[in-house]
Amino acid sequence: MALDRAVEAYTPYLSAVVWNAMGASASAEDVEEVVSDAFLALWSSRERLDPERGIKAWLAAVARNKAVDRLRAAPAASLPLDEAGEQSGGALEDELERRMFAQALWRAVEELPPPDGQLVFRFYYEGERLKDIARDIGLSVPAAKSRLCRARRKLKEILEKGGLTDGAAG
Amino acid sequence: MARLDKLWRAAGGPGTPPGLDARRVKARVNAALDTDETERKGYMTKKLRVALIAAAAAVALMGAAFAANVMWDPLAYWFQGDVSSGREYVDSEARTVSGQDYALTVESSVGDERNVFMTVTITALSDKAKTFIHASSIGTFDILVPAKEPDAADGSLRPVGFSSSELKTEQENSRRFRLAANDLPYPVDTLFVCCSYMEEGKRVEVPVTPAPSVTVQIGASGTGDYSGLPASAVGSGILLIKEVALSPFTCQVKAEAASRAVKPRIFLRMADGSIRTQSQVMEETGGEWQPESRETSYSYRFKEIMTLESIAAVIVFDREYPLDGSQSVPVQHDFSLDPFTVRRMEPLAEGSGFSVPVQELTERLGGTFSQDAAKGEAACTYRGVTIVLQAGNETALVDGEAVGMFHAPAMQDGGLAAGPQVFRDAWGIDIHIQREKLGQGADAEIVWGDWNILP
Repeated sequence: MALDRAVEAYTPYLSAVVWNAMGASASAEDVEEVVSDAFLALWSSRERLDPERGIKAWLAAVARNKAVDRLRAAPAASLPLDEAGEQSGGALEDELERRMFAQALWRAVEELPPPDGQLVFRFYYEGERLKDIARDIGLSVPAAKSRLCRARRKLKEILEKGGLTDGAAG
Repeated sequence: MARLDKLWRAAGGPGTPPGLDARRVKARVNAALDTDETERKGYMTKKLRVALIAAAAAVALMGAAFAANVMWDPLAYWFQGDVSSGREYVDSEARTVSGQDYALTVESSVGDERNVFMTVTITALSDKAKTFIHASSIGTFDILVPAKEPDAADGSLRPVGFSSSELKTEQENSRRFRLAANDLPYPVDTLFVCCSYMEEGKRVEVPVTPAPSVTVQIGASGTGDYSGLPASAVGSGILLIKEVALSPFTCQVKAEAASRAVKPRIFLRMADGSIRTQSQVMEETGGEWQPESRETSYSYRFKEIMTLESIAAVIVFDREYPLDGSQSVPVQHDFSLDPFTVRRMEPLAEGSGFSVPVQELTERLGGTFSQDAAKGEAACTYRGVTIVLQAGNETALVDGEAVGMFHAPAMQDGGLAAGPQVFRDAWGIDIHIQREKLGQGADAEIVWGDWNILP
């Protein structure tokens, strides 16, 4: 079923979008519900979507809007009790640290100069093929690979300056 | 998830990236589809348009950010050069709407009948909002205009397309954006700006006082521009240009086209007799194409503000259409302004795109070129602007002013090769590389061609 494949392919990406929109302290349950709603919207709108536009951007926009709606209805709180209960002490801190790092990483990608931000975003978050991205931004595939490599290093530098990696701590 | 894992590790992330279990999402989706699909479908019909517009905004937000020079004048954020001639049209009255957590302020606006350019600020009011104000999605806007469809209810609004990008201001509790309503479907007296994070119904009402514009009736057919595209993408290539509307800020073209890929090539005859090309004076900002009727609109924003008095006529398909409405007259075709191609040169470094042959480009444009082979230095002049390039030197001199390039030019096949950007910026020409996709899906290959040049 095509929807199943879409769920498998885009859940990691959409969860990053939604967590980034809702904040690191949003519960996994809330994020899961928002992401699920985005896929349901995709199913409902499947006949009206323009295949040339690609569904990733559409899904991301829907997910983001739904995250905003969710925040309007119930502003983000700290990690909920059910998650806290499952992950006591250090585990809870670790989870929060991972989510905060995920947000910082997302923002750092947004700060990369064009076309590197687009390149990283489409390759790592959206899972697109490198040759398709390279074509769209007018690079050869080897050149795109090289840019990705440099962008990874740049991201590490940005995050280290922000004090979020081991490098900064050490 | 493997790719994100790799990025996560490379960036020094702790453990593994947080994420959801796709199996749980799938189970939730399938369970919901078994229960209330009809209700959800109705809901999404209303939301779809807004979602697509939000997607456009998200793409815009991924683009370049602006410098930290804080100004209230929207002209400075949208137009190059001297913007003083447009100031008389700027509405500098700040308008604010406040909600529980955020305030949205439209600081200033300016526009014409089809486009409105604004600067807006979102300010966090509550402690909760202050912790969230720098989330990437905070700049998710909607722009609404009064609906004019025959079946629209009184007072109903419809969303319109827009573009936005953030203006970096380093403010702790607020963020500023430039925001433009592009290609409005019809002239409006008022538009409404909303921030998605504010309560339903909270919106800033912005009066629209359009700057004067002139519409030139054309009604002429010819071959449009489809440079660099395979024939399969452009149909006949024939374009019927119906009218061209000019304001100090934009140029709007209405046409009928066999394909959305075909673009008009129009020129402006300036009051001093000179001719300006599209590449020189405007940037494409959008447009629409209706496949059934082939009705097409093209929207362009001028790079620099144009006074209408400075434009004498529009030139289309070798006829000149005066702005004063007088009879059109034929003009001699200027072959030096036709599109042409130059060779694709090798990338200048690992990680760079293809390069252009400097001498070939300059001479094909009709410019002058000189080279000091011993120094690996070349001077090329076109449209009165001289670019001096040197092999191995990442700094170009444009009319004596240092301009940084992404990669240094290099000698290739006995001639100097350089990246295209410096020529785009200094000479106002379009340079894009030809490419054709062969095959479909995983087997598709891209065949790169030569550089296509539009003077």
